[in-house]
Amino acid sequence: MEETIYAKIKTKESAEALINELELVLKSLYLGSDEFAFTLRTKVRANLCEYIKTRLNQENINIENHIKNLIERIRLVPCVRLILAFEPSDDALDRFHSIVISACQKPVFLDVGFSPDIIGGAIIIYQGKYRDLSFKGLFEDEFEKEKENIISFLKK
Amino acid sequence: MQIDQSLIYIVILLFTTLTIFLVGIIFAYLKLIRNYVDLKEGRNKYPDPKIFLLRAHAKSQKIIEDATDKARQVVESAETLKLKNIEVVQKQIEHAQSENLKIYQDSVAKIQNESMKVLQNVPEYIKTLLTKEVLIVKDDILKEIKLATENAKNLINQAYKQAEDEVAEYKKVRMSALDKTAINIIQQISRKVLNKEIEMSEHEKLVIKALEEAKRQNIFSDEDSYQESQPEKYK
Repeated sequence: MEETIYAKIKTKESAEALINELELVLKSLYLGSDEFAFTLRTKVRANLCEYIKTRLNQENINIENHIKNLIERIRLVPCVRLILAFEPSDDALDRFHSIVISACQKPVFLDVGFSPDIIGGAIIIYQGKYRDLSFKGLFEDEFEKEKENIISFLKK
Repeated sequence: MQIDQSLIYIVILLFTTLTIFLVGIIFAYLKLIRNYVDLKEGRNKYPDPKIFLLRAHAKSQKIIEDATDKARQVVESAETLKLKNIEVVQKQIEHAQSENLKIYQDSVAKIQNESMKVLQNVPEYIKTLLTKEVLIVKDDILKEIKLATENAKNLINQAYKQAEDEVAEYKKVRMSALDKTAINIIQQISRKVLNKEIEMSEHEKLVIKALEEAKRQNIFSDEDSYQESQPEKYK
């Protein structure tokens, strides 16, 4: 069941939003059944609402502990930092996420940053490992090579 | 017995002493008696002082008279000499005066002549001296002016060279900064243009390519071995 939740979360931002929703549900648990039902109905996304209702229908489950554990597990999911030269669409994020998931073989969130300076490609940081696979370095190298030509051209 | 002998010695000593004292007294008495007898008989052993005084007086009278005669003679001869010499001295003084007057007049005349000559030569002398001094001063001033000109010229040259160097350095720095700024601007513009020129689908393709390259480089593996974390150029 939890995979359905993870499958919907691709980025760090959406993971934080889910944690916020789960904390709201957890608070509403202490405010009574009406407030809990109201929160599930109005303040969380449909898939999360459905997930919790399914869990509640199961016997011998402590929903409070379950939500707390879920929050903790989401917080422990690692992030892959991607610095991109453009702001990607949801569709693009899906594709990037699926590639990363297939590479990591475990739940991973994308932490996407935007930096037009890198021109194209991406800078990837994961668990202390850094790879600059952008056009920035290539561009700077080429520019350095052409620098003298540009200066001489400017001086004409 | 012993004491008795001492008493005997003492008695002998006392006796001797008394004997000597008695003998002395007897001699003194005899002398006194003799003086008394002489005085009584009128005998005098010393000459009369009045005789001596009279003799001395007579001798002194004689000496005074002799001295008076001698003095009179001397005074007389001195007066005669005085009268003779006064005339001679007067003549000599007159002669000396006339000689001195003549010498004085000659000297005055000579001094006057010399002074006149000197006074006549003074302007010429001063002129010569001044001309010489002026020439020396002129030479000195010319030397100083030349030296000052050379110094000023050197200073100006140095300052000019320093200014030129500073301007060249400043120009170099400014040109370098300008070049850097121009390059940065061009770089920024180029980046923006390139960024805009690349389509979204191209961007996505490039990112997917980068992710696959990362996957190939085992970036996403959970191995603890620390892999190269320096930027690797995307090719």
